[in-house]
Amino acid sequence: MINKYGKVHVYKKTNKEIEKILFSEILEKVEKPGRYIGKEYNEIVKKSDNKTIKVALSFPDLYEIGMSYLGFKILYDIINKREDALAERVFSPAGDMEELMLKKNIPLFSLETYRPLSDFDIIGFSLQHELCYTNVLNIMSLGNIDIHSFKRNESNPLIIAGGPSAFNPEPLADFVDLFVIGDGEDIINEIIDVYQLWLKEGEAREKKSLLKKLDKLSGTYVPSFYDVNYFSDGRIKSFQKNEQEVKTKIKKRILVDLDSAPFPVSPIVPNIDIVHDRITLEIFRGCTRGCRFCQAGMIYRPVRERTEKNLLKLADESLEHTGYEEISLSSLSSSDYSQIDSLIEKLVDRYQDRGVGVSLPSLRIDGFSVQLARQTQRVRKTGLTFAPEVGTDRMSNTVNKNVSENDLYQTIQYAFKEGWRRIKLYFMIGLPTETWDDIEGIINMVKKVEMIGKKMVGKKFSLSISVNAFIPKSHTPFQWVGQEKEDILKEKYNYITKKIRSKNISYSYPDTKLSLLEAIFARGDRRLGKVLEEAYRMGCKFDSWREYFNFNNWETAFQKCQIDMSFYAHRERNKEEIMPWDLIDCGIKKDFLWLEWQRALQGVTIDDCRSSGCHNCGLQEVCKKLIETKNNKEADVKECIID
Amino acid sequence: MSCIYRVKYEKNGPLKFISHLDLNSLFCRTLRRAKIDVELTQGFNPRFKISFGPALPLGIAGWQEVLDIYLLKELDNEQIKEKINRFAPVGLKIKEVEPISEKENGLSKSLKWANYLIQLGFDGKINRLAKEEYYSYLEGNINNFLNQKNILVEKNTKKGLREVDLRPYIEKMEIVPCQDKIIIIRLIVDIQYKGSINPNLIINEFLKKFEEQKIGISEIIREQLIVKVS
Ligand code: SF4
Repeated sequence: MINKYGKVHVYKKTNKEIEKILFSEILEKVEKPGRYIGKEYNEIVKKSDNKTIKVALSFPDLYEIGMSYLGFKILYDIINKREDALAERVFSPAGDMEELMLKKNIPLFSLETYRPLSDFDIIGFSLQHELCYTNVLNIMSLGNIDIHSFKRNESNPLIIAGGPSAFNPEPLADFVDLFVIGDGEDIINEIIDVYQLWLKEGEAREKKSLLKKLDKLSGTYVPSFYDVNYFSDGRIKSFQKNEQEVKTKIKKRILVDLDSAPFPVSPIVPNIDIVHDRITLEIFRGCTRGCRFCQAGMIYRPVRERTEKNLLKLADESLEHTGYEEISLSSLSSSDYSQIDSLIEKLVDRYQDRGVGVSLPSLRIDGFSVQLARQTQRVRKTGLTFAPEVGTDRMSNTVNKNVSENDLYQTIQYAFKEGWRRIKLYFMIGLPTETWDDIEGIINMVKKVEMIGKKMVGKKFSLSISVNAFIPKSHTPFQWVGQEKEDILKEKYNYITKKIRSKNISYSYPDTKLSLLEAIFARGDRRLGKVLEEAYRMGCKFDSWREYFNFNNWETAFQKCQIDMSFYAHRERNKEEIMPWDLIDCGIKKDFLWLEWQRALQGVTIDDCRSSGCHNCGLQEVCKKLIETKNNKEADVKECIID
Repeated sequence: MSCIYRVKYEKNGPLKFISHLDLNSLFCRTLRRAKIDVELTQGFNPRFKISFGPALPLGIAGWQEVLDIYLLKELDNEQIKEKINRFAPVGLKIKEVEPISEKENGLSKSLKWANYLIQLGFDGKINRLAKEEYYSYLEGNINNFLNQKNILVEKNTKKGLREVDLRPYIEKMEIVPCQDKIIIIRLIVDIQYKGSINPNLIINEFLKKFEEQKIGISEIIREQLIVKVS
């Protein structure tokens, strides 16, 4: 097998050999060796025979990042609970580790048993954002697996991928065999069941028959079953099935009864510090606030809450099995949980004496949320983070953020009164219809907060400002708009820098090239596969990491493939245009998204459907079912209001 | 009044590659799982009251490391040991627990020496020398090494390259007789003298003499930490 460096792997190493080389020749030489060892508390090492389906859960980033994701832990737990399957973990090795692995000629391996990646039946990638795609290819290559889907057959692992970025799967269409759209809890079991059945077909079984069987499941997408035709100007003309019986639309999977869904109460406790080193208690899934730029808010609809009773039980069990000292109440907007104050009070009361803390990852901009934050840390006053996103009420209406400038000032005054001194604010620039007035708005807002801070807190006050470029994403009301051009973004960043310079304020913004790349892939089609491959062969990887990101290589790759970046990033698309992700039905109607886009242009806002009633986004059937489930269980949770 | 226990433990296997800071949270989480009630520190961010002995350099296993834990109530020594071991991750093992009096505490002050075992590896002709011959050859070299008044080396510190004298750190250095075809050196370093020193630094300096024979360190273990009895 020849990898991207042209190196020839002479013979396949066994896991024993890999382990030996790892411990005697590698670990001492790499940074943070704890990333590559496994052997953490709660790690599951299972015995296997040839009937066991072996799944490698692969996260295309470092251990510290991947181990922080709840979805990864959920799947690990579900698969390992089965008698007939096992799941092991694989992460991207850092640059120093990759170099040594190639030098010592060892393939990428799992942390549980040091099993070479190519020995797995299924490799499942978690796609959290678009800038991890080169790492996906690199993982396959380091595992001695051909990156091209069509070159792999039934004797190679089946490559599947899921997660938020799978909602526009097209840029990875050449490399991934099967995408999974939506909640993974049920479908992972169905996939393994199908795989087991397929194995029974014996020696004659073919990859294609497996893919056809998997296509029958709801929520799966096999890109190789579709051909794409284009107009001469580059737009998509049509999607065409090349297999008769395959699906016409891929409906996302929705877990209706989250409260009864499995939750990993014995997650692995890492031996080294990771990004989110705590219990992640998912209190609800979805968000219906309806911010128009937010993809998560659209693709994870509707809101499904866990009951307080269940959450208290899950918290208890998780603490008992892990020994963690912190529980984070996670969701897209945690202060929106219907029983949030009572839940926090109960958790704090229960664990305070044991030195176990409760934390809220995201705060809504209102006094209520500050009160909640105060409850979670009765003594400690670290920083508070808010995301006003925009600087004027006009823009707030456009993006449907539904928070006014005054809300922010009042909230912050309240926070200072309660003893906080450090505030962090998130903003976004380059939004549709944005003018320089909106930029001035951000500056004024920052200055006003600074003024309030200086007056109320004095010397110890500090403000940190993070400004990001808006990136139009698929399945959102802004999916038709073009991204702001780089030079204008730069001008705006610089202008803000100049205007808000102060010793109390720290300010950060991303590389505009990185935002450009993200925008291209977020709404890209399968023709980008070539570019991706080219860039990866030139050594691009870990693109989201400043120290690795190499835009020159990317530029060369685009030129070589004769693909225009602007076509994907900057072009405004019209209503009728077929989008690369049009086969994927996330439940929300395109008409609703378009209507929302029109409302945005007129500055008309809509309320959260959980308080104002249904806006007919397209998920009515699911929402009805949700209410039924809730009524049947007499659960005290707040779902959508729908007739 | 808190109940202080001195805990001797092994840090080995995969945990050889875990930093001191990570070991701290790993140990606290093990205690929480074992439901052992540890005293909390005062202040904004309450933590378990534990004091650790000197850090082990990454890649070195410790056979008999030491820490003191402050418990809320008295517990049987064996019970503490068993409970922790039941909930510990691979590589962490409690070997001995004993109560100590408030007076004896101040772990870092009472530990005087660290005992290292260094296994050497070969890649050259010295391998073919008879073992006895080789021993006396090494012994001579150790004596010469120790007879120097100063052993000056450059050390990478946070403030850049700095010259340090290794000699005052070395309490003892000797060959450990053993059956197999391996060579083990025991090195005892003073850890009270200007903080702890990485044994790799000392051994690598010693091995410079053997450069053409390509002798290298194949493994280092910290055998134990020794308390100075006053
Ligand atoms: S269908 Fe109606 S209630 Fe359900 S998420 Fe959509 S807008 Fe909200």
